[in-house]
Amino acid sequence: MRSTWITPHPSPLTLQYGEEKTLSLLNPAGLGFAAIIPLIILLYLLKRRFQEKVISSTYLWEEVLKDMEATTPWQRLKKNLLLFLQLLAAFLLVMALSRPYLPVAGGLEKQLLVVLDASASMMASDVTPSRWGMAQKEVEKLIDRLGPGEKMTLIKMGEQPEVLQAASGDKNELRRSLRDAQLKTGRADLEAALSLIASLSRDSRDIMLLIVSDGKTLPVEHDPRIKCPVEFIQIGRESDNLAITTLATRRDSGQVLALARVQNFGEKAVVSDIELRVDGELFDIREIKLEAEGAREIIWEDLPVRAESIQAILQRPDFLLADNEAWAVVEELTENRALLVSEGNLFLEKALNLLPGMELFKTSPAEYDPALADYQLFIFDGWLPARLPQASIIIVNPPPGNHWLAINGEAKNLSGIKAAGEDSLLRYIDSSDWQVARSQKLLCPDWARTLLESEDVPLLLTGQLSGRVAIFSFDLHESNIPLQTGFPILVHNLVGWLLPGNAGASFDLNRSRISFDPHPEAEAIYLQRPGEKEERYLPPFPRSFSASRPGLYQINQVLSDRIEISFLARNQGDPLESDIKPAALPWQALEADSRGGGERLGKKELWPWLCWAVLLLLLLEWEVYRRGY
Amino acid sequence: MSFTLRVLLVFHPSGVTIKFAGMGVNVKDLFDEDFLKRLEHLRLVSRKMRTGKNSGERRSPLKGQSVEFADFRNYSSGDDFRYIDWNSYARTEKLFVKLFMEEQDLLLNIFIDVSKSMSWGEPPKERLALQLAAAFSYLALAAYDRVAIAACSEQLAAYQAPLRGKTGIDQAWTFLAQLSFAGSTNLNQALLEYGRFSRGPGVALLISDLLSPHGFQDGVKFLQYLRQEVIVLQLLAPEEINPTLHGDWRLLDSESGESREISASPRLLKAYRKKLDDFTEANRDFCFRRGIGFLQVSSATPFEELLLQLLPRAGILA
Repeated sequence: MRSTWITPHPSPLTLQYGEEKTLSLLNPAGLGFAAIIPLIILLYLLKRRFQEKVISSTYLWEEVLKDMEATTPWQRLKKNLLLFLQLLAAFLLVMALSRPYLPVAGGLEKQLLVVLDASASMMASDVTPSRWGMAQKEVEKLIDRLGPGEKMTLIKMGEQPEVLQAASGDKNELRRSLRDAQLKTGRADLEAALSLIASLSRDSRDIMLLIVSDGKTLPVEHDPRIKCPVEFIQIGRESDNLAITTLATRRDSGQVLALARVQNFGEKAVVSDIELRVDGELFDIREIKLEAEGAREIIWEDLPVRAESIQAILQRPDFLLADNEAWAVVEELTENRALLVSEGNLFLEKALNLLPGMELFKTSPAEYDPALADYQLFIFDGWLPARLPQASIIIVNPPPGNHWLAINGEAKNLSGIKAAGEDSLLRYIDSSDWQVARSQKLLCPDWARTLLESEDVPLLLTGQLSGRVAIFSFDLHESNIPLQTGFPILVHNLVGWLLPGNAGASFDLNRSRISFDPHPEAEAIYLQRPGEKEERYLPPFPRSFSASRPGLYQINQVLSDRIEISFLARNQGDPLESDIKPAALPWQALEADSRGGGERLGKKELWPWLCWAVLLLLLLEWEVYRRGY
Repeated sequence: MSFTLRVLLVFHPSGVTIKFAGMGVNVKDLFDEDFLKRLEHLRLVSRKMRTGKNSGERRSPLKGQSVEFADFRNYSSGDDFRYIDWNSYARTEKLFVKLFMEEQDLLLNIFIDVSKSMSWGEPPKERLALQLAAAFSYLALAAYDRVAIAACSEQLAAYQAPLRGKTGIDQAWTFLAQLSFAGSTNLNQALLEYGRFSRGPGVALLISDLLSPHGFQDGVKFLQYLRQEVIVLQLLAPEEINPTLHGDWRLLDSESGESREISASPRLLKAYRKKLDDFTEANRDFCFRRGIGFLQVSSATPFEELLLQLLPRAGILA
């Protein structure tokens, strides 16, 4: 374990000792006892009255003293060895009375902010009992050292920082919070934690920040400018870890394929067996060899067509076991059918064809038959039928005079297209470069809302008629949008919204929660988390569930006539967290100011050592006296 | 100091035994009968033969009247008839006179340092000094030698003119018993003053602690000039040889009263011992180069050991 004492922005209140450490006194009044020192000198001067002794002749002594004084001018000092020993002993005693202490860890500051890394890499067992356990012990030590009047704020650093205890001086409470803290399986967001700390420490003085981590956190991109001393206590030693970072399945021309990506984060080449289970049954075992810090993809073909889920397991034990397993859900057999009614729109065609599980059919407005009902999605490009089908619809460039959308003239040369509000349909899309040459001015109907607009001209609307509807107010050919990278994403998002899957479940970005769109007809939902009891939910259903534990999640939706079963896989394998090699915190300001070394701030009282020193000095003095120096 | 000395001289076939009738201070309690018996067997030897004024028990380089045959020489007129070897004459018809080793008496001059410093020490140096002086004078007088005693301090404090015969023992010891140890030391001056009492060649025994800034070398040289065979006995108290001081002391000179402050550290004591060794070595060297007998003795040395072992070993006593 290595700890680094750093002060990115040194507090003016910190007295520097040696440059970095501070020697302070708990009881400065004890220095008053220093008055004993002149007293000892006085006593010594009095004591130094010579005993008289008559000897036969001082002749030889005179000769000796003449020689000694000639050869050793410092003899006079040496004569007073006892005095010096006594003065030293008195000095040490006075020091002991004034209770000096050295900064060790915690204590010196009035408040200690402790950030405890709770990311997945802290599960690694390269230290005993684990990095997390060791980090807890380190923090417990800090709690033990907490002096009277000192407080500790305990912050757990996961994807979101979590304050376990705020400025508490109650050691029992702190210990309990620490014990109860659960390790997260996601990443650690240092910047978020630092932002929280920056706001916590803004108006406080005498604060010290301690980060207990293995250094595997998301990088700090915007330095929150922490103004207190910072210390980094590093946990972890080894890097040996093998992880399944990806496991995916695909249906391709009637067969099911599985792909696993295995990465070796260790510094040695390793060999391991990888086991593939299909719906819990062993399917295949292969031996794989990985170079140091190397990666491999393994592909299985001809998986059973009816397979629902697969699980890959690395047999070789390493320091982080959680990422040795991964699950994947096989896409369902059913595909969505979409009908594009257009005179010809290559952009839309391409974008829709890119969508997984989408079977696209094309027709022209002239050949459109309202009886065609076997499609889940209709796309009407520049034309609208007299009656809209009972399905999800995308309307592009609605013709004027239709029944559903009122049009109020035209707008030209629209740029600066922006989102009308925050919407998940616009995620991953940067619309700032989008331009539209000519668009209809649509009046947003009651059943719809604007997603994209430019100068109050709505360009993209979504709403609900008999089914979900998305409306582009312009001809795609009269804009540069289809050529932008965001276009296929936008189409993907829109189709994802227009055609909610059977479960409609997907993981959100931070992967520790399942966002969930229940079936409209669902009467009850049962959630089966890996290794836990089934949970039952009744309407209104929660829209998301926590999914902190890696594994296979099963969601059963009870409909009036059937039960829909869907699976979701949550995997641990994450190149950031699986790379368990201890590293410096990815914080530029910290690295720049890192001073290295093993010193740690805190309150280490020195009086017991001083007392031992005094005792030793007394023994020495006795010996010196005995020898008659 | 009241002092009574009663000595019974008992004639004995093997020699004279001295018995002390009363035990006072100083000299008389120093010897017991048995010890005196053994003392009597010791003989003072001088490494050179001496001439002397009276026939004594010391051999002289001069041939003379004695019982020990030495040589023959041709008779010349005036020679004592009694020494003509008539047997030789009967064989060679020439007159030869038998020559004998002439036994002469020895003048032993005992110089005893009576400065104040000699009364210091545990046991006091004066005790052993007086014992030695008494023993030497006894031995010498018992051997029909002459003994003179000079007490030295900053000058010649007292002088006992040569005594002869065993009757002199009493007188010599009385003289010793009356000595008082006081004043400072200036051996050179004292020995110089002795010059006017000098009675020809002899053996000079100097008993002193030699602890004097004036030294003793000039005085001894002067004694050699007076044709004395000099023996120097340096008496030191155990505390002087190996001081056991601890802590801070103001040392007062017993003679001058001058003080000297010291912090007795092992280093200082070591330096003192070194200085003493150097001092002794310098004295020994001086004596060796001038053919002077030298012996340093601790005042704690048992007198018997000194007389029966150390002095014979040093060649001062046979």
